[in-house]
Amino acid sequence: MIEPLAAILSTALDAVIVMDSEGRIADWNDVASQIFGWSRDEAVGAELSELIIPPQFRANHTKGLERYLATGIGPLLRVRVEVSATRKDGTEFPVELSITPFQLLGKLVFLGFVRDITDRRNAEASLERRAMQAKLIYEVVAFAAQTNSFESALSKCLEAVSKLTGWPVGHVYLLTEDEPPLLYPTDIWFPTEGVQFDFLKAATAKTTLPVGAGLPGRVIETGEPIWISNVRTDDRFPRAAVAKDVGIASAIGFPIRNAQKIIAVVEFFTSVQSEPDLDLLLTLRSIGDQVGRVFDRHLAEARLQAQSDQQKLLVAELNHRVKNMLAVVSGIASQTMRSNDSMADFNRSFMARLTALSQAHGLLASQNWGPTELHRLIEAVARPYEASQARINVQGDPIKLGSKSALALSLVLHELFTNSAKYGAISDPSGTLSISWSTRINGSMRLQFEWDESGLTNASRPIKTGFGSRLIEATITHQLHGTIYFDPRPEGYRYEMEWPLSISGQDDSE
Amino acid sequence: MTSASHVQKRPQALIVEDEILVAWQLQSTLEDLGFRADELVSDGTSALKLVQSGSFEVLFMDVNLLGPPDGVETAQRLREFSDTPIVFVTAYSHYDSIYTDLRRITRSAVVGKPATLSAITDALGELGIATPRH
Repeated sequence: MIEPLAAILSTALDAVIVMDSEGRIADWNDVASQIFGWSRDEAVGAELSELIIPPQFRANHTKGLERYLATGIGPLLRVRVEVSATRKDGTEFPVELSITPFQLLGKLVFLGFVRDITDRRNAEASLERRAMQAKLIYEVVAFAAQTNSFESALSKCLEAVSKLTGWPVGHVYLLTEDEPPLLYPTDIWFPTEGVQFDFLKAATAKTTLPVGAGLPGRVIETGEPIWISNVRTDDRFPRAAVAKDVGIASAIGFPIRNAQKIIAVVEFFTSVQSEPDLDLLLTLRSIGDQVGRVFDRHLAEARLQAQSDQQKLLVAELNHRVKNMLAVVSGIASQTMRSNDSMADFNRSFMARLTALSQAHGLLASQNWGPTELHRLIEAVARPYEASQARINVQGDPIKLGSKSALALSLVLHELFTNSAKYGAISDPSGTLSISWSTRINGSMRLQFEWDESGLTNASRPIKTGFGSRLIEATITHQLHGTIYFDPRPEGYRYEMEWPLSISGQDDSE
Repeated sequence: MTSASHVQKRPQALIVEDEILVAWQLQSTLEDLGFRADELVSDGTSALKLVQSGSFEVLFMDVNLLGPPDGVETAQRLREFSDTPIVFVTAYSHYDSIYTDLRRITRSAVVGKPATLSAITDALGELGIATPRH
């Protein structure tokens, strides 16, 4: 060991190399042996450039040394530089280096301090990658927060993943809610343009996958990201033949997951064969979860919006119905007023009609304003006469009426019942009232309805064409587009009516 | 004779409304205002036929006729051959989108249901139609 330097060489924490003016190693310490792999005996006397400088930099080293010796100029001297060095096994690694020339025992030597910075470099690279990943995740999240569509969030996700991985082509498979669930290819690709992978796109468009099959199917099965280093030799990649043709080597797939389950799979392809990178897979999983949350949130927003729209519709519909009803009530009032001389008569008739309408209204509301059974409509209007001793027979096929016809018919039935209770079958203990109907098809479906009173002993019934009779007739002819025949027999009135059901069946709005 | 010729001179209104009680009330109101209003129809097609063959001073049209054609469609078809003023009678409120359609029909006015005498008079005034007994 060079005596004056012995203390430094043996105590330094860095590799210390002493080089003579001819470029040979004059001495180096144990740390240098550890870093470079050469023992002190092997190193001393060897050409430094051949021992530790990568081949591509050796000429520069030699030129630099010659120039310094000739001119005294050495820009790399007395400064710290980061360069590559070679180990005994030929591997290159980054080092931080400082070289100081000085006179030792009358000879020019160069003292080099070398520090292996592989770990620092790795840490820097890793930090840089993490920063990049964080930035991309942030981009995806920020975009997801402001977009209204799951599809555009997926597009953004593809763009971000391509930037992150450098992998050029990405695509989204959607999982349907079929039973069993199937994966369907989508039109969501990255890049959106470009012909390089047209064959892959065409093959993908035809490839629907069950759970467990292909790359996306396996992602669903395992619930985890999957990395295939070589798709051509992977017997579970159905698009392998096409992948080979278009030059795809590796593929990654990762799940887009919402709160409950996987809803989509993103797949990426590259023509450079790449080995699995755990860090990257974790990042992809996290990006997938972020995009999945968008799906949940937008689903929730869409539901809220739909509820709010529905509410507005219901309120508007209710307002519409109320106004219509008020118009009918107003009509009943004005027409009842015209046909009654005294306030007491008006009050009785008006309230009775209003009650009939109200009964029908209640019945229709209980049916959500949907089609209502004729049987139940008659029951509702006949309720005030339940207590009477009259024989009332009601018989007919189950038939449903739309809300508008049902309301109109409730007023007709009310007039018929009122009249019968005053002068007809309901007023006479020996009377019988038969209400019956049937349907018949004559071009369209028509309802034939009969109101038949019989057995009356008291034939003193006044035949007059009051408001009630007018209302019965006009409702059937004008409103229901039907016909009516009236036979005022002394033993009891008989009405035969018929109208098309197509009219009454389709009138749920007023 | 005098009364008959007086009746002839009364301007005629056509009522297009399928709800008979509402139609009758409108009829009474219009008659009170001095119109002849004995034509009641419940659908757009009959209304179009009547307008083609007769001469009406004004039409009162329910918007929500059981169509097709509904009230708006009937009005649109009517405008292809006639500029008879139309008063739409509707249970829709001003907030409903159908009002936009109604406003596009030329020479028309809108009255909400239930239609009051003063609302009808206002609508007729808006259309420049004199009410004989107002």
